[in-house]
Amino acid sequence: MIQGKVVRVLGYYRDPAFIEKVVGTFRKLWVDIYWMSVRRVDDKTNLYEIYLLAADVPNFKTAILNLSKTVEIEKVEVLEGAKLLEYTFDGLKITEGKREGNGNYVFFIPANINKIITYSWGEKSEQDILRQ
Amino acid sequence: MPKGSRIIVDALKREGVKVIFGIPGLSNMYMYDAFYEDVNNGELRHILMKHEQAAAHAADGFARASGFPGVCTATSGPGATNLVTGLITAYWDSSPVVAITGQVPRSSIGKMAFQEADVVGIMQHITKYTIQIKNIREIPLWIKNAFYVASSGRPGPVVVDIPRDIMLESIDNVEWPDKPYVPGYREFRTVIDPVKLKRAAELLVESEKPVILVGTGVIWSMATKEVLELAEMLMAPMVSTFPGKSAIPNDHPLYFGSMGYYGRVEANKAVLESDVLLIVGSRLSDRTFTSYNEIEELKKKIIMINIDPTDSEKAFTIDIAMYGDAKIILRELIKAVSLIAKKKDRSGWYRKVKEWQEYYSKFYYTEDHYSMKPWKILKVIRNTIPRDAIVTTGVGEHQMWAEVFWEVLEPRTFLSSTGMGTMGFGFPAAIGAKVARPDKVVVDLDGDGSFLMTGNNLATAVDEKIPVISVIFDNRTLGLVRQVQELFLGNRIVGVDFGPSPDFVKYAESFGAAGFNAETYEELEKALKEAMTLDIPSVIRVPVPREELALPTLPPGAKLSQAIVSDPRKSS
Repeated sequence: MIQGKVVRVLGYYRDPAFIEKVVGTFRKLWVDIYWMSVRRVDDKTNLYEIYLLAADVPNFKTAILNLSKTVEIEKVEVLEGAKLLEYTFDGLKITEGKREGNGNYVFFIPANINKIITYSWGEKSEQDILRQ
Repeated sequence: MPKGSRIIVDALKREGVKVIFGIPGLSNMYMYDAFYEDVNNGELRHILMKHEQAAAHAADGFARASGFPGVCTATSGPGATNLVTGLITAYWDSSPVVAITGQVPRSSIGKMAFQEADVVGIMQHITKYTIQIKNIREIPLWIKNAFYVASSGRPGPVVVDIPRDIMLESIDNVEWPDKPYVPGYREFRTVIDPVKLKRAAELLVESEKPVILVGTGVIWSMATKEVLELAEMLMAPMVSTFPGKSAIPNDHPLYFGSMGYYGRVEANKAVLESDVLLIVGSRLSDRTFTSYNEIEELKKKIIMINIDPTDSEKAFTIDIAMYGDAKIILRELIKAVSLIAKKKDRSGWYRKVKEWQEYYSKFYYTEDHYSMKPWKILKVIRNTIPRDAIVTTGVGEHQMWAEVFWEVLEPRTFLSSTGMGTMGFGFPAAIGAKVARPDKVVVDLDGDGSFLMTGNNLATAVDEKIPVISVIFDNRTLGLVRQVQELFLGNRIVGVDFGPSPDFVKYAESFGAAGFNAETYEELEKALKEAMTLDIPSVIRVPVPREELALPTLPPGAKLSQAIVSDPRKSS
């Protein structure tokens, strides 16, 4: 997996434009995205959670700041220290590492987070994570 | 059972809308049908613009002149896409505009239908927010939300895209929301931090060479009085960003002009040489600070008051950042400065800045006997129109002359596309401003190139009896590009010069407007005086030599300290 910073975005989905909006914020600043995982957290409010791995380039911070003040975005968390661990589900079991194969599903889990920096509409907070 | 189209109109009226700038077409015409009675009984005014870009600029001009969101509408497809330039212009200058676009029916969306455009895809990255209505019940809330989002926090344009089949649907009961509700949107908080206020006050009181930089945020928070009070308490010179000119009476003895790329050298110099810089309501754009490193290297103390906290993290180190409404924070800062109760004599610093102003004036205010000089044209206009007249500009050399030489005397009376630099802004923005403030004289300072981009809206101004006055600095060239070609690209002049067409007097008259040719300052004054008595728009053509430069300027990519103040062609 390419090196970068793992980001967690929480926001309210209305239609897929929500995802375009998140991705576009990085695109406009030429910040590459290497991986994304999107899911609906809450059926009632349509709260969505996006994890993504973005290039750790000088514009990264600007992208985060801009995203954190975008309509529909609740908050943006930078998961400091996070590394993506690779796993493969072959239909029967989950094993560590990437195993390409027909029907295999490769997924990633952010781990080793040591600090979460949260940005939301001009507010910034930091939380040290003791466990890994 | 009201139809969707009626609900749209009622929702707009509930937000206080009295004027809509737009053009009807297949997908928004049901909204027009719904406001037929409202227009005929005078509750709503519709102004038929001649291009949707102009509708957006007019709504923008309305908003900037009044402080209330301007509203524009366009049909689907080309109508909506024509709004793009106007909306991004409003976004870059933090102006609250609400655009209602018609959309093809829901069943046709995404199928390359006739006059279909992906409005959300196109608009969401060039507006503060874009929403597509999915069903009729959403209309009341989302129109309320649109006005809330447009006018709160950092203001900006919002698009509400409504499929036309929804306009034709009906419902029994309309639920009108009391309050907006936008998931994932919050206004920036105003944070009163006593520790920061005390530190900021101490820095300012102890400073030898303070400067206050005023930006657009002062206009939107109506904090002019507070800025002046603080400046006078500290005897601190004030400079502004280009759009921030409109926040401060430019004849105030502590004001030294707008700084930046085409700003006054003394204003740039005051900022560079200050020991404490207080920035109020500015996003620190690359037009104001052409090199962030230049500021960083000077290691001056910088205090920033801004509605958007993220702006302070993008440019250079801010020592004390205070976030929120400028008026509220300035009031607190004034109290904190008063508490320290210490006066410092800064007359030496003031005199120094004043001396720079006097020194550079020798370069600005030059005269010759064979052509009209831009500074003097602007002086004649300033001396002829009322103090509270509203002035708009197009984009080009004339705009830069206005930046340096136009004296804004009342807040909200200078409207210019400063962030996006959109040619064609001036005239339709003047229409919008005049509609918002019919009691004011409204003058569009324009260039020949810029005016021709939206000048066809003279027809609208004539039909709607909107007597705005356009003064065209006619140099038969795209002067700002020409200047760069001449000075910095080896005099390779290409693709900029105009021929003799059009004759601006005949052009104006062909629309039913008044046309004037002012070839002397006396003729200009006479034409302005006559134009102010008319109930039709006027175009006053003022010839300016093609070779006239917009100075001061910077070489491309240069620092503020590298300003060119005199004509480099003469020195060579």
